[in-house]
Amino acid sequence: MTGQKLRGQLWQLSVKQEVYGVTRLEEAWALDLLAAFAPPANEGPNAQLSALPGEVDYLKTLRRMRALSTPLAAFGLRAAVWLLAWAPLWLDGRWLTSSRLQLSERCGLLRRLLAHKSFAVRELSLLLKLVASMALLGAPTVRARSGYDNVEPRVRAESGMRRKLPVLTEESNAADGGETRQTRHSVAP
Amino acid sequence: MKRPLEDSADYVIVGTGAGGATAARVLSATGASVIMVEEGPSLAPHERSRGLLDAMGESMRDLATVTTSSPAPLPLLLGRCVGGSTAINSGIIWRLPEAVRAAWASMHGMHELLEPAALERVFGTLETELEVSEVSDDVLGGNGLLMKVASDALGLPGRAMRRNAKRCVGNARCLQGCPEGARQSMDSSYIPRALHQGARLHALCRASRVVLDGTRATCVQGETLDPVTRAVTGRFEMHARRAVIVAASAIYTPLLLWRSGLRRGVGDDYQAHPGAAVVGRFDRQVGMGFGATQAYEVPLPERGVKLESIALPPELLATRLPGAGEEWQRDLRRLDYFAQFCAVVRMGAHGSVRPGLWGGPKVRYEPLPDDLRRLKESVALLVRMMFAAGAVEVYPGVASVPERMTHPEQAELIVADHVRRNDFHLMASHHFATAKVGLDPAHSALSPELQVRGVSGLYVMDASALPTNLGVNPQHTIMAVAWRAAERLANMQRPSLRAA
Repeated sequence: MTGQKLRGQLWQLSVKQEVYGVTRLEEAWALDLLAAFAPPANEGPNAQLSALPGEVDYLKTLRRMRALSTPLAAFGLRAAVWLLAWAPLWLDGRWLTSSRLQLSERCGLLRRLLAHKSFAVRELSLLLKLVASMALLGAPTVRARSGYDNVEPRVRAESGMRRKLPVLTEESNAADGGETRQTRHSVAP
Repeated sequence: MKRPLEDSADYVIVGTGAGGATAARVLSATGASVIMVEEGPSLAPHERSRGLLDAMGESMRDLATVTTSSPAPLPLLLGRCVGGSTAINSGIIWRLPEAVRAAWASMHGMHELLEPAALERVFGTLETELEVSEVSDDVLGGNGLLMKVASDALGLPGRAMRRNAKRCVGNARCLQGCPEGARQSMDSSYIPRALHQGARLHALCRASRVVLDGTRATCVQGETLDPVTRAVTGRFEMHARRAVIVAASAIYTPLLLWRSGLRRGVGDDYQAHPGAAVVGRFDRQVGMGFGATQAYEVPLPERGVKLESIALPPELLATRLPGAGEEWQRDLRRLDYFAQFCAVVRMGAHGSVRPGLWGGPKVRYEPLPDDLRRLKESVALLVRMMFAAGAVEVYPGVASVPERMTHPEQAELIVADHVRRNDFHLMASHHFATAKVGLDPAHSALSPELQVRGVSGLYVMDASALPTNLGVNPQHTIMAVAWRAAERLANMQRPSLRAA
């Protein structure tokens, strides 16, 4: 076996381990952490944005992001889950995981970690925040409530916009099915 | 064992980004047979996923998680689909600055390739064929408009960008793939044209090595990939009768050459344009989701910096907003009230690209102290611009200063000595010089004709070949250099035919 083939097989093995190797316990920690970025809140015109029950699939997003990332980044996501899950221990000396904290306390913990003096801690926390954002704003109904696709007539006039554009939340995304589709392999004239 | 997928042509081109697709367009126009090999999938505009995660998964290399190996990893944005990075960028067009052209011509032996009259002709042709025009007022969008307001207020030399998207309707979805097909990325322009001229495209084929027969490149070998899992499904061999052209990006071209046993001067001099962004919150609607993704710019070549308006999809904008919980959720409820500007710095740092442990690249790169100083000054200027545009709060994205600034004077905090490189979130989307042209055989991988030294029939025609970074968006320069090199190659091998 050549070194190149061996490296290729090791790479695929490491990918498989990273994709499929996350335990249920790790996923439970991850779910508690991801949901704590935007905990349930009173929705209203001046209130915060949050997901309704069943509206956002955080774990599906996490799995997909790990599968699409480099092995190192997939490992980084896993490391982020461990680091943040055990933050009460290494940050405050409390012998418990963040899943055991009250939701508001867990949220406060995330704020501290995102502003931590260590670059590694900040970046790994931000990595999980990216997963949470992808899941949250990737849900069309949540996106619609964020106002991102709104444009008032005043803005339209000031920026010279002449036509109404199709927005994501109005489009059928059903054809995508959330999966990468088959694509052409070879194209000839 | 399954038989490999085999094909043969006069030219085999690895990579379908700005360099590879342009070479294919030029060479196929001469009547030569051309094969294009691309690792990523072939996606028509209407087939591109609208959701960010799916779109990035399909068209971006490893979801933009390829990073430098430094203690503070710097993400490297690269396309991986037919069209390469032109299929995920904003289509910003800049001609090669004259000062850079002159330096490359005199110091790196590119005087023939970059002969001014020929270059003028090629730039003109590219701009006509790719429908290059200035961003019109009707697609400037709220984000671009605010940068114009800021630029005017501070007396900066701002201007609407020139892009290859004349028919842009302002969907702000360049990153996900223009649903209108307005941006003339390579998958919408030169690849269809090359196919029409008889070229063949093999997508989902990852090149692993260039095969040499003695000192002549004759074949490209690699693996075919599953469209969904990207797992290896088989092998391929593409035979080149005249030449192999490598255009797999300034990160992956050196890996391919390295794995082919070609290491002299390869991967040694990596340069980039890292950048950082600043977000502003306004007390009235901005509407970042409408308008050209990037519409307005402030070039500051004397500082080696370019400032740009850049709209983000909501998922990335949300990540960029500070905090978690209640404060973050309040911001999420008004995502249409934010604007974002970024600074792209022509850094003086030099790094390296080598094969990494798991098949990917190992990129060493770290900004120099002077790079950091210019970065700080640029980000501070962006903060002042946001306030000049009317922002009520600015999020500089710098760890050691207040995460929410409320006065323009606070911008000075960013240039303080205690602010370090690790306090910034940098990203680099322009990569250069990893198999560069030069006069000195000991320090340059390529001859002035872009031929790999010591190997006949092997050329590099992408940003790897450029001798240095250039301070502006490089797509147009990459295309012009590839055009000129392909034209000369065709004329050299078929003197009776004029290229294109």
